Amino acid sequence: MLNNQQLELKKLTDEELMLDVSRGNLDAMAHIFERYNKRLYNFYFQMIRDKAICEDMTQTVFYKVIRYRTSYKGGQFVSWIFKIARNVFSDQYQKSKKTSNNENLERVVSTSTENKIDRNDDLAHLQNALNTLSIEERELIVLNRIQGIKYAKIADIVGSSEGAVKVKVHRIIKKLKTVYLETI
Amino acid sequence: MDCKHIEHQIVDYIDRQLSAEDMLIIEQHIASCRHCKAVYDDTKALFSAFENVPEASPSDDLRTGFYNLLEEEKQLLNVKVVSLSKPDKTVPWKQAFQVAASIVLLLGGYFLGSYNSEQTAHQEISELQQETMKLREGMMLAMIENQSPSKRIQAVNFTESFAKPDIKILEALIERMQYDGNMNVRLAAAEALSEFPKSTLVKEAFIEALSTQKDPSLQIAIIQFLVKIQEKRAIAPMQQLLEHEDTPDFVKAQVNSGISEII
Amino acid sequence: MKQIKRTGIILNFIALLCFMSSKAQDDYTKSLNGVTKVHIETGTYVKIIAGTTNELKLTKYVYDNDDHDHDNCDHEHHVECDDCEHNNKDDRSKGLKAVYSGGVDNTGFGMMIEQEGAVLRIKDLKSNFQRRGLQIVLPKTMDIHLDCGNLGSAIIKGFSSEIEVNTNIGRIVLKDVTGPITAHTSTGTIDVDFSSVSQSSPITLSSSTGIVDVSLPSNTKADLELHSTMGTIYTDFELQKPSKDGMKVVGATRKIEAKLNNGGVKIVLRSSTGNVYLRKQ
Repeated sequence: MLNNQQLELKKLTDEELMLDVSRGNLDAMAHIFERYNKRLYNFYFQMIRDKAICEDMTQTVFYKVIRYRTSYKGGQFVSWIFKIARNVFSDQYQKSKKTSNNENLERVVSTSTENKIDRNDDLAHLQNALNTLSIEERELIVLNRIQGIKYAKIADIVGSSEGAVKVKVHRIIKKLKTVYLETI
Repeated sequence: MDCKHIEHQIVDYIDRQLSAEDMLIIEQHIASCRHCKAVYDDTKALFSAFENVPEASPSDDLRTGFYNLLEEEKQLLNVKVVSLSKPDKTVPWKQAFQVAASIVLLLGGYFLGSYNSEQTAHQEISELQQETMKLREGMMLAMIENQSPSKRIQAVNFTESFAKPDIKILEALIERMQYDGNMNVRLAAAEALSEFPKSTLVKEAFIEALSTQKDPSLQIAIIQFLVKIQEKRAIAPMQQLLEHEDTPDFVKAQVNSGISEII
Repeated sequence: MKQIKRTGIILNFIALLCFMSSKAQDDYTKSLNGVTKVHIETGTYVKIIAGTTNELKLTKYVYDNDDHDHDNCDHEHHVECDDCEHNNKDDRSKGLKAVYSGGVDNTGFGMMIEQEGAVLRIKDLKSNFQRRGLQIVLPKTMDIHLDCGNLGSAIIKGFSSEIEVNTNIGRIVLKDVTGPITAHTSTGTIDVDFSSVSQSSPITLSSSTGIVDVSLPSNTKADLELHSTMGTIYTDFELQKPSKDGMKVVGATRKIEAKLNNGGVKIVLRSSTGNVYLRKQ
């Protein structure tokens, strides 16, 4: 019986799973976690190279998904969970700006390559280039190029229009190219 | 198409987001134009760097943490009614109140004196402060139901010094915000609760209060809190406030500016 | 103009006559032995003044010059004298008892009075239309809780006890008081003159849309918190701002925190859309 249910759940889309969760079937939540935890963690990790903070934020996202499950009313699940993820990030970012003993987030953000700089030159250059971007720019490019999310969905996530996101992403790519190719 | 136009489309070309016709045009152009070929190569190089970004792996703590969380939540589902039972210590606390109050006063005076003169005994002080905190929590719970509204406000204000208040304290504050007979006590409780924006309990309470509280001052305090914490679930009840004819215009103005800040 | 004035005087005179003639029935007196707090619920305009005996005394509202100074006519003066009518009807109601929906009149004054422990509860059974004004005399040290319903307003003078007042649209005037005070009105004005400020527990005055106007002795020790969301805060006190890390900004609320004379009891003055005035005596 249980196995059957597990099998059934595996076949469901993200949206179907989440609707199930929102109706009170918390078992479906495990599947969502398995599908998304690495993805969210990597999103954060590209923004801030601090494992502990990134795990913390990822955890918080799932916590919020569980807590606020009833507020999911259908619609693109990716957009919904990334919206939450962004809010968690901006909370963390605001918090780190305020509290004096946690100013490290700001520092982590700006010096994020130093940890792993030697491992791969191309990667290091890319990180360097990314570091020249603002938080907002970096977020857009990470969502688009690393997470592979289409402009329309990004627009949904950040509360903008598809056209505006596309223009911004293209501008960021242009900017990155210059920095990236200069340093290579 | 001129080079400028082609350049604009290079990204979409690499992403294969163009019509077959446009794809062909650009392919041919790149083959014949050295400048655009360079742009294409550079972009391609950048993109391949992106593609080569290795996937990072979170530690097992994340998974363990998540499944613990899920388990807790499942248990909460089973216990549907969380009773707001009064702390069983209420009666002894009331009796011990005078004693506690004087001890706190004494300790407080001692701290101030020693803290100002020499800051060396820091360690001992922090232990004592924890003791004081417990006393204060007890006093708060004892005083929060006092028949004097001024005393109840005083009890509410005690929580200003609590960094991480006990759940009992939060529940007591929420009860005050929702049901106290005196509007000023409710306002004070709402303000005290605003200091704990991370607490889910507090957030839930504010969302509920938004649709139950009728006093404009309290409505404004609630709206400001929910906007500050960017609580999306507040949008629906806020919109209801807009539609309600009893809602005063200045509250509606707050709602409107609030909604635009949350979305 | 002359005409109106004269009518006023005549009405006043009639009112006085009525008052004198019906005095005996209009007073209600009760000893307050063992009572520390009086809780009053009514829908009319109320004046509470301090007396010299340990008694509660209920009478009709009596205007004095002070009321005129401080009252922008929340109350309709000189007009009503329903007791004149009432007296004429007395024949009809002879041997009968008035019946009220809110409770049983155990005072003969249209009030229900009950004692619960040290609290005396007075509930006005007459509606705002049936009762025009109410005056209450209480000992200076009696704690007071006054709820003025939808249309009532309050004037309280000369108490050194704790006062709690709530009105909806009516104005709240407190004179020669010390606190603790907790007062709230939705749309009314709050005027408070402190003779001195008790340091025992917080003072909170709030109006949603009305003005809050407070005057304090200049040597008052207090931790002030002044809020106004859309109004302006005025004061002639030199406000000592607390050190920076003590400053808090809550949401978009404009909040000023300051210590008077190195700090003391907490005084919170709040209005959402009205102005807040804090005066030095």
